[in-house]
Amino acid sequence: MRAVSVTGTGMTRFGRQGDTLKSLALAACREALRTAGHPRIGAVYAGNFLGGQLAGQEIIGSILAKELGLGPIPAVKMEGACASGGIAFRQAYLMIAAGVYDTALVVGVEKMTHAAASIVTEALNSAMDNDSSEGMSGLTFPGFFGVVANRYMHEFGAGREHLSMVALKNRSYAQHNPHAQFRKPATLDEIQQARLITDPLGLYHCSPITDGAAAVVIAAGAGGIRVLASGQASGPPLMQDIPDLLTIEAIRQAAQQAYAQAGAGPEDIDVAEVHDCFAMTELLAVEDLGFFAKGTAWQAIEAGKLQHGGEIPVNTSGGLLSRGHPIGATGVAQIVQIAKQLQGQAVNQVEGARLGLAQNLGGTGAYATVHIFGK
Amino acid sequence: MEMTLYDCEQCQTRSVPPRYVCPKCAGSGLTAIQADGAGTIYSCTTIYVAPERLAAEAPYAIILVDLDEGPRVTARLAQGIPKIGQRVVFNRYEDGVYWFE
Repeated sequence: MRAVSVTGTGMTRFGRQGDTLKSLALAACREALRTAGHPRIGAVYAGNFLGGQLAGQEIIGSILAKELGLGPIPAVKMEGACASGGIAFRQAYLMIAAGVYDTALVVGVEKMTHAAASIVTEALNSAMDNDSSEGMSGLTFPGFFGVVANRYMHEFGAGREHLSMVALKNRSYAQHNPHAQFRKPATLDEIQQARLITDPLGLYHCSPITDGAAAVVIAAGAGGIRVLASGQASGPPLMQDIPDLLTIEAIRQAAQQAYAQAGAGPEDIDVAEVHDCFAMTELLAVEDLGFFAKGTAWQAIEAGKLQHGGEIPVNTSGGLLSRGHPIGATGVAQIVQIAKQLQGQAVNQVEGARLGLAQNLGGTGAYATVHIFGK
Repeated sequence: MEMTLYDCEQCQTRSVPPRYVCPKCAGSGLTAIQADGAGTIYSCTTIYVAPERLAAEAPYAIILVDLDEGPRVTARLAQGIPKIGQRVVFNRYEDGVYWFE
């Protein structure tokens, strides 16, 4: 396998945008191509989940290749629910590492805010196994993580305030990120008092509905931020089939692959972006990535270990909770933030960061990717 | 009320709901058996923001039940606020949804 590097990054502002799926993706791609110095691109990998359902637009890969003037190069769209972006990045990385292409443009994009919340909730439910009693019964994704959160609190003694501390930390980071959806300060009290979405998760414990795009250019060679590892695993698409509800096994498996490839362990990672689609999910992720022992992440957030000055700053972009969660774009936006951290040019820069990790999740742990980067 | 569960002829794994193959060994021989349908709530939530087709029913309770007779099943609680550890019993299987009370 050849060395592969991230050589360019770009992203739009996340939030409610007037743009179309295509114009969002184009803006992120143009910035990534410009910062990479306009190399000749071998293929386009687009991560997108709901383009067909919400924007009425498929074939986004081919559209981008044409609009960006990249020539008749291969283009694909990768779908893995909320992990679409991470999966698109991984497929592009593997093709370059294997020598099939020398460069690739990876873009993640989603356009969601024009649809009503109930329509978006219904569309997001297509990331469940709907040929099952679970989808029929009215379980939603917030509902799934609500069920997880209630058991986690019951089992380990955590309180709802620990979920709120995750939301507060990520909001505090987002205040410094000009691309973030929510930059208004919030207090722990506001977060605790907000209306319930699904018990025990309130509004601030849930990632928002977001428009946005993020893109990276990756190339063979060591002339950029090195991609040191790429892990991916699958897990049960049904809640009732998960052997241990408080462990996302696909994250553990993907992380083990990635740590082995990078020749590093969780203790070596200086900064991480993890998939906090809900505040509960960040606590599970930092446990399943090995940063903290199972059942102790709530103590870690309380002790300030997930932020600057603690053991590992997590979601310095503001995370999905406050930077925003345009589904297909999320996995790529995480990589943009980690690349910038390692370049020393990030918002909420972690001084001297040398190794960074990005973890993306789809469905009820149905898909997970973990990537490790180095300078 | 009696609840139908499914035993794999190959690996004896008991599962629910009806499926194309055994969730453990992917064997296709599944035998229906009748069970009491009593169980304990492992975890639960009350959903306030529902998908479009269920918006009129919100808020509603989703429960994850450990059946005394084997498998874990995702279901709806007919009424009341669910609690972890609460005993529940199967009421009906309707339009692909398991209802407990």
